[in-house]
Amino acid sequence: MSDRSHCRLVHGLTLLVGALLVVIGADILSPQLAAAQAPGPEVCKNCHSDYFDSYQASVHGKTGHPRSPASNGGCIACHANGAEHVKAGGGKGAGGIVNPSPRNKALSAEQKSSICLSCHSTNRHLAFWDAGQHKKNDVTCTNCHNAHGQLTLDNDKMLRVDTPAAGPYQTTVRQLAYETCVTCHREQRAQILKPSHHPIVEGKVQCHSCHEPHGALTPVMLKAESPRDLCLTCHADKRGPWIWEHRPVGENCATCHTPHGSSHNRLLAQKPPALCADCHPGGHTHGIYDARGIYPSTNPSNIRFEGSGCINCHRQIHGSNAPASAFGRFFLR
Amino acid sequence: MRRKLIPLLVASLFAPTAASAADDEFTWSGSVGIGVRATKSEGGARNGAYGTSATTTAPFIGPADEAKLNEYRDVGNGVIGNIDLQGGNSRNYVRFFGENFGRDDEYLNLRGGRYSIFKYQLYEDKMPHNLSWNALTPLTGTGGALLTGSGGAYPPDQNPAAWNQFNYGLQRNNYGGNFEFTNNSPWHIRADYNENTMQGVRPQSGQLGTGSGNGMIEFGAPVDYKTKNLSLDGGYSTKRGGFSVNLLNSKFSNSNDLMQWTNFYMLNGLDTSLLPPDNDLKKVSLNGSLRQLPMNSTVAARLTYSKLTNGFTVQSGGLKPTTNASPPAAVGTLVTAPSSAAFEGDHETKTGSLSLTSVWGGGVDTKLYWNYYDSENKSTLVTYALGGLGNTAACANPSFPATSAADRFCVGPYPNSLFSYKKQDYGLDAGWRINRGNKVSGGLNFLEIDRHREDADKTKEDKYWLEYKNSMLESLTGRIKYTYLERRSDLNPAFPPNTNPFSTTGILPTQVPYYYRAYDVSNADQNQVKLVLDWAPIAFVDTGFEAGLKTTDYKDLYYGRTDDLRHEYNVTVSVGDPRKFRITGLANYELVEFNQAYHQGTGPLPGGTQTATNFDWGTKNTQTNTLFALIADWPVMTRLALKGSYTWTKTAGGVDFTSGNTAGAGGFNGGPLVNYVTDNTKKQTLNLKGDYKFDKRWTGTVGYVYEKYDYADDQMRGYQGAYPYYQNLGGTNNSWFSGAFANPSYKLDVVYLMGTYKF
Repeated sequence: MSDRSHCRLVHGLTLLVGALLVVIGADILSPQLAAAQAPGPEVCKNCHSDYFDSYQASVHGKTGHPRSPASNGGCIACHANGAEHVKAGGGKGAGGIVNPSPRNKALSAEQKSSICLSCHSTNRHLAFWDAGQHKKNDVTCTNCHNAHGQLTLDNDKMLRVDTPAAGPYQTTVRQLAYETCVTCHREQRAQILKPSHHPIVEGKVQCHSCHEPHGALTPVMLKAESPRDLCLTCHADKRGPWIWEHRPVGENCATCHTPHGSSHNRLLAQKPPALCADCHPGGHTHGIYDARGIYPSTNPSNIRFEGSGCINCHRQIHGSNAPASAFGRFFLR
Repeated sequence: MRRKLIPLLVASLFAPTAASAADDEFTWSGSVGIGVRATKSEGGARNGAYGTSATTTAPFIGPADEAKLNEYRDVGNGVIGNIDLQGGNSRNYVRFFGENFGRDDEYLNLRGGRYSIFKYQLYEDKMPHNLSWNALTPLTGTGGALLTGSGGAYPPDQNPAAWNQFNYGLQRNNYGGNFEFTNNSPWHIRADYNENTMQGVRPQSGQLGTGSGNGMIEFGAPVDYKTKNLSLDGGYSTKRGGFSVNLLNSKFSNSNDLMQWTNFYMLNGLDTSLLPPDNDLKKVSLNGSLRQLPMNSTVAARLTYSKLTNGFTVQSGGLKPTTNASPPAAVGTLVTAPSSAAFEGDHETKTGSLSLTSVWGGGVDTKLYWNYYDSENKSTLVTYALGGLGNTAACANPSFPATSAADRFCVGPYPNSLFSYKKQDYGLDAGWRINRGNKVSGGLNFLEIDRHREDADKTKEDKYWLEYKNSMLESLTGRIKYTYLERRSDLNPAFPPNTNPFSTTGILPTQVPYYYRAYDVSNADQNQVKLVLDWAPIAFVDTGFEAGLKTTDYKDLYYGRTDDLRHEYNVTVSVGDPRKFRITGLANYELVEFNQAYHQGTGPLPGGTQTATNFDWGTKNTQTNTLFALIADWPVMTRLALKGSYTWTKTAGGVDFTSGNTAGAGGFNGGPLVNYVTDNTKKQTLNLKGDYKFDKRWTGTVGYVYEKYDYADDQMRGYQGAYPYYQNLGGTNNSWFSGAFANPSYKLDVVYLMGTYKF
């Protein structure tokens, strides 16, 4: 055997013995080590690289944030001590690993939310979480938010989209919040695609423009104390105050309008004159219907069934400041 | 896996150190996309007409309308692009997103801050709201506050070929920013400022004469609004609870207080329409919550106080004829003296909300709540005295409405009242989780409204609901909910709307309005059932089904809305692994039906003898909405991903009439109204997109969109009928329509190419 070969043999044997000693020793020590020290994110990364990358890109992965998971143990802050999980060789639920995914029925909604709330309960947006409809209906944080989502395309809240949205061509490439909401709120998914709609699918109004998904004390978690107060946040020209008030307007915009979507112009719940006739028997000499047809029948047409119906003349329907001589009382000016 | 244990454990000892060293470096990532879009569009042609509908009608093809396809978006040809930037280190971050640069729907959003210390945001969001393009008007000056006519003899400008073209449309731009400071403490302070501007032309119209038999005219009103909102928020929040105070000031201003327009009926005199007044809203809100109370309880409360004010000079004159002859021989300004020269608007609103949620033993949870809302109108109460033109000394007083004659035209007097109301609702929701997979819930809610409204000054709504939810199976979750609502109002049939306020007896049982009930206050019983099922039978297959039924029976009335019914069904099916190929199908069907009963004429009582001039009539209104969509995602290979979707939506409405009137002399032409179609639409969108990754940095995108929207409506005459730009309905009943919304149908083809660079 040459000197070189002998040298290689000795070094190799030394390494082998050393490795064996380390392995045996570590094997003896590993239960104690694992119990004493949970694996850091770099350990999890080896099997869950995509999740690690998204974690690191998000605020959760920033050590500069004193309350972030990165400053408090990393992955174990949400997923519990993964030492047994690693020891078991990984796998779904193995070693008691915690997965707050919305699809995981092993955890209750309360348990999943409590993971997030252990840090986020001080968030002012969550002040009314306990009183809200979402908590009551077992909606958890992870139903809407994906802590391992992408922050790109203006999705800084990392909203989750499970069911892709369908609809008309949009000029925005952003991931829009409504796509998250309609996963569960299927009725509204159809409403917002009706011909007359708030610009939700276009990305100019969001569901959270009107509703507070994190909880509110109002019915349907509106952001204001009444539907009228909410509507007038954006539609300030309808606030008045007016000399002549249309009382249903002053009480509730939803008496005439349906905010998610409608077949009829201006989000009206019905088309005039049917809408107006629900409350008004018709003060005109001829009433609303006087047996005249709609053009182009052989009869002269009834203007109350043309165009905008009653609104053709009663245009100032939300309220009027016109004098009596201009028939302001009847919302004509 | 076991053999990796040692190196993994060794590596983990060093990982935190390595990570923290990298965090301090401020790094940037993001993407820039730039491309081009080519659009071919076609709007709905308006097959119009003008003339006397009863005898002679001349055809006129109006200009096409492309507003609907541009309703809330800018799909024009040209360059398109977006920028998405993320920068940060372990302590600081900044994110910017922008798209549609230089277009009507431009969007910019800048966020940043230092984690747990402060954050800020600056944004701009532009939104077009196009209503109807290429409308026509015989008036000149659309876009301004003075619209003038040609001055011809009444009725002038009958041929729309000579009219002026204009667009109804608005551009709404939102600018703002906010700053929040927390300094890693339970305290926060935040300031928000936002300015919203809206400019353009919106639909306006005016009755031309002194009654509904004198026609009307459509025209465009100028819009130049600005709303400024400033909000300050401060508070304290811990895991145990917290509080916050918010101050809001919102000011709305309108550059145009009024507009004037030529009134053809009133001998081409200048008529006046008042536009929305400026207003100022101030609001203070207090929020508080306390958690971790006994029984896992949380108390939450909110109090608000707001004051909405405005002020302006009260107008007194209106353009009116000097006699009740039609058409008038002379016109002037009729003055009805207001009780106050100035109006001071003042709405004060006070609200309070309280909620107590608890988790008891045995899987029981409860929520007890109370909400209070008090809206008080403290505005100036303006009433108007009797006024007349011509021989004013002979106007009857008091009389409602004032009686005009051959030598005078009279209006008023008009009393008025201020509308205030209070609402209070309270209730209890309770749930019992029988075991992990079964939960039963129920609740009671009581709403009471006191309002200043003569026909119904009190309303009570009692609501009861029950729900069962089952999630025992791994792949199946279902719930069913039943709700019953009972509404009862203190109805006073002697004082329905539009009654003579000077009457000492009110409306009598011999009069038709006595039997009418306004649908928003009429007594009603409502039943609602909703079923939701979510089922994932095998891996990569998800299905969802939802069905709802709601019926409302309006009670204790003869005329008005009598009942309504609503069905809705939703289905979602998703098949496939999104990492390989996935196709999703959506379907929705909704049916709404409501019935209305009316009476024409002064009598007889309900169910009495039907004549040509006094008869019962009714409508059955039906609306359906259908949606069907298919969405496919196909990551063909590592470099290539294809996406496609097809959406089909259809709305269909109709009104079926029944009428008891008989034809004959003195009657109004006899016979029932022809059943007619309302807002029938069909929209199809095909959207195809392919993304190809040339390398880690560059991605190329190509896309094609086809969209078609069809519209038909008998009130708008549809696109197969003839739209009456100008029509005479006999005598002085002349109207001038603009063609707005007559045919918003369109067809759209879009092709776009984009290159995106990632860094």
